[in-house]
Amino acid sequence: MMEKQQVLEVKNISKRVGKKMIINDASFTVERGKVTGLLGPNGAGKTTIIRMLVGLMSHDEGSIRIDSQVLSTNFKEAMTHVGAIVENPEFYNYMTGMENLKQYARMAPKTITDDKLNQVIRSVHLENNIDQKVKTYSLGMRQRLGVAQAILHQPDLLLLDEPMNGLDPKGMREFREMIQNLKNHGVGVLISSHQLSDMELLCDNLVIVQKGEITYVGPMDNPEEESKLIVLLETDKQEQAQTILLADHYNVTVAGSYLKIELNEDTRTTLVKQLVDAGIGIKELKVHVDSLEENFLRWTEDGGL
Amino acid sequence: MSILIKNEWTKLIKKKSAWIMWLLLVAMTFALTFLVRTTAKSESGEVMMKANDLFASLTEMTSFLNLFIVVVAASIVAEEFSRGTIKFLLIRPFTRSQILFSKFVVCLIYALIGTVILYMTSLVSANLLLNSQSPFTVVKGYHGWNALTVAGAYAGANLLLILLYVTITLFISAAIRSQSLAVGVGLGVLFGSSIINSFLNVVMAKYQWLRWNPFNMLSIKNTIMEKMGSEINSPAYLNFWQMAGGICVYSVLIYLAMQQLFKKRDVSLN
Repeated sequence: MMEKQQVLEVKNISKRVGKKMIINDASFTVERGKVTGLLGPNGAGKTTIIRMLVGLMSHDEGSIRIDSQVLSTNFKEAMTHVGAIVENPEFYNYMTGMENLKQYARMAPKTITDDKLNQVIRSVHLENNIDQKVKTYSLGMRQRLGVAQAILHQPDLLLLDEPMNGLDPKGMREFREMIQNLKNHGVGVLISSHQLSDMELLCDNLVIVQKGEITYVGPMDNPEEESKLIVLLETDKQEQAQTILLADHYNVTVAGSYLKIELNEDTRTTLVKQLVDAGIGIKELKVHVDSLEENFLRWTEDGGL
Repeated sequence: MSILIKNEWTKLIKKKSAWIMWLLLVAMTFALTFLVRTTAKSESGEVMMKANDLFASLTEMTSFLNLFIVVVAASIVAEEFSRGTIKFLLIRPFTRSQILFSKFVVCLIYALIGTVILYMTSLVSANLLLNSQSPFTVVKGYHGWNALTVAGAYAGANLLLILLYVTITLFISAAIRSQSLAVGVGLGVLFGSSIINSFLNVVMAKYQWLRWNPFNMLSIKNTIMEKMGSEINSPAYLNFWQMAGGICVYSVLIYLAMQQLFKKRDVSLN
């Protein structure tokens, strides 16, 4: 059951360039109907991983399976299931958007009808520009044409390398809707980005890569952090409150006008009672929602962001 | 496979330069014929040159045709890299060998059409601008062949040369991915071969096997004309079929080496 859910399985892949290990023992999976974010600072190896996933680069060790086909031995069969954008979308700019798309449509494993082609063009909102030469396109339009060539043949696995570069807020929203739609149709999506804000609204799972190594694989909201409760407390006597809590072995730090307290269990009531009993007035107590941004910064602390 | 060839052909023919090169070939053939006409005029204003004299050698324009083919072959792979489109091309369910093969075929189709254009233009321009003559007239020194056959033999021999130029240029284009270097080496082989050959000729008297070197094969067009005894005895001498065979063998070897290199290399663009 679990096996069938995986549309991409990356197992212990490594890549050396000369003596330098640029990807070291990377493993992760992408499931059908799920969006996985490949997150990392620039130069961490995201694009190298995506290049290996589409066979533009070879891997020295490990295996890549797409729809259970081993990429290195069954390239053609594996690639029939893949749509991808690798780095900036580049086209034959002396041809129109339509002529470019038709190139890729012809190479698709199954016949793509004109209806289907027009449907894809409409879904990326290029219907008014599709017969113009690509050299007249803006970066956002090229990006959308890039998405069109990737989804044209209804792939099971969609690999998108920094697809949100050059999109305006409206374009971003349309992009998210489109990804949501593909996801609902059971497509497994891998999106790379160095920007966490791009990922937060889109991804179900997260793979974090730093200096060629994968440092986190798991759901978007880090499960390790879930059991911990962080509260922010404001009282009328902050220093006194801190002394009391520290004496009681609470993990307390000062965060601006608040005291930031890490609780291993939800002991908010006891904590408040303790302080009130000591004659301290509570002004505000709120649960601190750890934003992914902060998690990301913490996970990548030594990543040289 | 035919899909890939169709795609490559579309990409080539949508470029203005592909048409410009064919048009240049036509324009230059007419220009050269006109130049010959002006220099071959007698004092009375009568054109002294017969049409077949120029037509039979394809107006000596084959070098220009080959030059254009080298330009096409150099850009057909290297341009995919410089544009960055190679990554969209190689992630389709086709092997790299198939993609490279389709580019190779398209170069040859372009060359074939160019050859037909040159053949027709030479025939028309010579008969329009020089003393027109039936193309079925026998040309002296060519085994009793008529002008159409002699021109055809030159065109065919030249196509064999093109085969070698295309593989050499594609090799550089695919292995080194530099368009300028591919054009440079292609043209170097095209125009520099006679220099290398004249140097090798000196050595060939001692080492006869050197006549099988690829540069010697490039003089295949000289083997079409009937030969004198002295030429046959020269150490560099190979007949037409020996040279044709040699060109094919060299082309196949270079083609296989190119495919091997292209298959293995990582594609990274930064």
